[in-house]
Amino acid sequence: MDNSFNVREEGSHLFVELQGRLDTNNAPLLMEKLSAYKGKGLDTVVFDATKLIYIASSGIRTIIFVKQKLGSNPKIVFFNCSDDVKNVFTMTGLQNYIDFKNK
Amino acid sequence: MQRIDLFPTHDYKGYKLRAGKPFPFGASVVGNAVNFSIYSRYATACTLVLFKNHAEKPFVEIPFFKEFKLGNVYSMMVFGLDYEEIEYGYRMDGPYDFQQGYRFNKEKVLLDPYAKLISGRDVWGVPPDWNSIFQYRGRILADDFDWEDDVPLETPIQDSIIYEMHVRNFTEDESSGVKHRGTFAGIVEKLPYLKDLGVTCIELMPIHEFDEFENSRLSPDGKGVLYNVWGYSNVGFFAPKAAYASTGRFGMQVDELKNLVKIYHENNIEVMLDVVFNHTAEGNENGPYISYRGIDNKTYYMLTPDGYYYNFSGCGNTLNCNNPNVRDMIIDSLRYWVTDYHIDGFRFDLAAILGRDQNGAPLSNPPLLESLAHDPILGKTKLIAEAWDAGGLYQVGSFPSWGRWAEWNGKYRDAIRRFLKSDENVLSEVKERLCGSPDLYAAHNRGIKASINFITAHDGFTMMDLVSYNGKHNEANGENNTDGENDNNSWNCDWEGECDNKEINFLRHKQIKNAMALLLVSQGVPMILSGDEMGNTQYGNNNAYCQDNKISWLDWNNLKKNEDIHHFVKQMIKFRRIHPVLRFEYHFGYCDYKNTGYPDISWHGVEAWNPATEFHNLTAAFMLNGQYAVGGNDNFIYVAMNMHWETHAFELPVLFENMSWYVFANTDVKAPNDIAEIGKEIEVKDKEIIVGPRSIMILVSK
Repeated sequence: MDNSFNVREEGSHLFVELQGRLDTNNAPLLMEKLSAYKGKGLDTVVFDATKLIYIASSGIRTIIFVKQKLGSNPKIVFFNCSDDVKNVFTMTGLQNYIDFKNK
Repeated sequence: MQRIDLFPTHDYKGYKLRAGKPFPFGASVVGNAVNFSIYSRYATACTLVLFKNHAEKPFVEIPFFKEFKLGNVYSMMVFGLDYEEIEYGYRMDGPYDFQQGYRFNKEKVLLDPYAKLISGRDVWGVPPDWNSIFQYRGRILADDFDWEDDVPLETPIQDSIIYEMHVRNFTEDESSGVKHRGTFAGIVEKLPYLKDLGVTCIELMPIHEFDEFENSRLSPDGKGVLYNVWGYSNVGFFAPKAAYASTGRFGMQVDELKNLVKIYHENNIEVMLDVVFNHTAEGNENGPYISYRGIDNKTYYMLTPDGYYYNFSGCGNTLNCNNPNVRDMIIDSLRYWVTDYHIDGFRFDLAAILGRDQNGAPLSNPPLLESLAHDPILGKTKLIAEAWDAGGLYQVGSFPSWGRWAEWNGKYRDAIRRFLKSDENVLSEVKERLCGSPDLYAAHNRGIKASINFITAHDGFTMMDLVSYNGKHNEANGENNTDGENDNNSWNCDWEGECDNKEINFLRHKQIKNAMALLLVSQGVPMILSGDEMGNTQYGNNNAYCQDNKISWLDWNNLKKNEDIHHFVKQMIKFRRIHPVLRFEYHFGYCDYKNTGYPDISWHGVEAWNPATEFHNLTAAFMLNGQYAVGGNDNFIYVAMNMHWETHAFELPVLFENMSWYVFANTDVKAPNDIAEIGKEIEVKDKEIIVGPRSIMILVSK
């Protein structure tokens, strides 16, 4: 499984491609990568969830961390997220942090 | 700032370790390590056993070194663990001497009593590997959760209206129409329904991890399986049942339950838990080793002088609640649910056991109950006792309370049920009950608020079955109908079971409305059984603890079928909420001590001011003086009760000159005219009202 994340910056938007699973194996790595953008005044972070099949508790926490810690309270968008993953956010009450958008 | 004491000092088979912190007990994430801490008074050695999630065999077993033990507590930190992907347990070694109460067995892998997350029964009804050496496994929790500014609501108990419900039964039936049936998420989907109903508090039947397969067997008709549905059988006291969460299969039941509490709090509804500290799922000496038996049998259980298990719970064993260490565990558990889940209150199952000493004898000053009554974290938490046990200790009215404990008032239930079926010898007791049972709670100034009034609960008939069955029908439980309560004080309205007869059904609906009307105009705290507001039936089964099917599951089609009942209950709840004169905190003076012109409460009969006892003691009325209510300007409320089988005229007490009586409810009238919209009550022009047979009328002054 490819544990790296494609991160692309475009002005004040950040695009992150997620693949496979987001759990304790790779969530800390993602957190580290995104920490580099602290204080850069991002206003939106878009996660492409097309290939995301599973998100664990640690994965969810990483997403929230992004919103809380990047300094500019960016909008978080989950693009093309599967129903399964979206359900996990809804049931744990964390859906309000996120804007779900589909193709 | 980095701590200077978070680096490994030991190495065992490649695992980096360090002496742990004894507090908190359980498993906690500290930086890049996991701290494991467990107490055992009599163990001589302990080993931490680690598994990959769902693996059959452990990947490592790490003994606690001598320097990892402080007093009777074993604690160690393990570095570099992928904490979301592992499960943990313990082996405890020590003496084995049945008679002395030592039952250590190092072959067993045991669950941590303080496990905050338990796996092994992740999805309801999915059979586990019965051969697994380790059935219920501890998991490690990220216990951060953004509560924002949520705190327990602290709704005054006398203003509460409690709704007793079962997580799975509430939405498991297809008719519930929710996406996540039978789960915490399902309860969240039903928030609009409960908000509309108007209850102030939901009381969840046991949500601590339990085994639905306990005592599981084929149903007597061979077509299904019986499960432990109700869950009065704890595997752990710190973890929510995984299978009650839609995300349980991902191990996220903690977040899902916290989310439920947060959302309900946002909508001003409290969440209470039914807690079962009287026994565990380990059964008697023939039962399995899940946790306590292997961790520290002599500490956790009340044992006879021969080493057998006392059985005051009727379930095989009794938790040794007044042992100081067990007491601490219970307090830790309750505090944890309040601090980490923002729980508003607890109802203690078979609470009389909590007042027994380590040999089972009742204590006059039980340390556990005293600690709970005075605990700082639990200072505003509601404490409700089911004040009896299965060993004959009945303490309704005498539960050691320190002014903090309320009780399930079983006497209220019995008196009202008897009154509803026109028992001729119960009126004087009914009067006490409607006034908040001063005979039980006025002493020591426990107040009206100590009385949790209920007519139905999970034990026994539903309200619809109370008026449809004279006897219990529990054959489906496979115990030859010998289980369940025999003295139900029910009356079937002249036909046993479901029927098409219009008159019988009208009477049944009316009796339900009578019951709900009485419950909601009584002084004390009303508790409603989930489903009664829609006339839910269990087909005569009054002990459906093992029925995981349509017998137990709420049938939401009843909302349409029994629309009149739902509407009536909803309006009665609204009525109670807007009239503080129905919700006194302390008992009546029974006289006009504030010189307002009328006493705080007065009793009447068919003649105003004359509480005579003719008509077989089945007619009575009371009037509440709104000037005595909190705020001092509530209406007068008059309630006429005619449980006689003939119509009677009730003379109304005369009010102040500029006031009249208005009818709010009349159970003898066909819906929707049986109950008014608030503000649209109908004026009474006469000096008397005609109350039909077996009917109740509620009037307000304006």
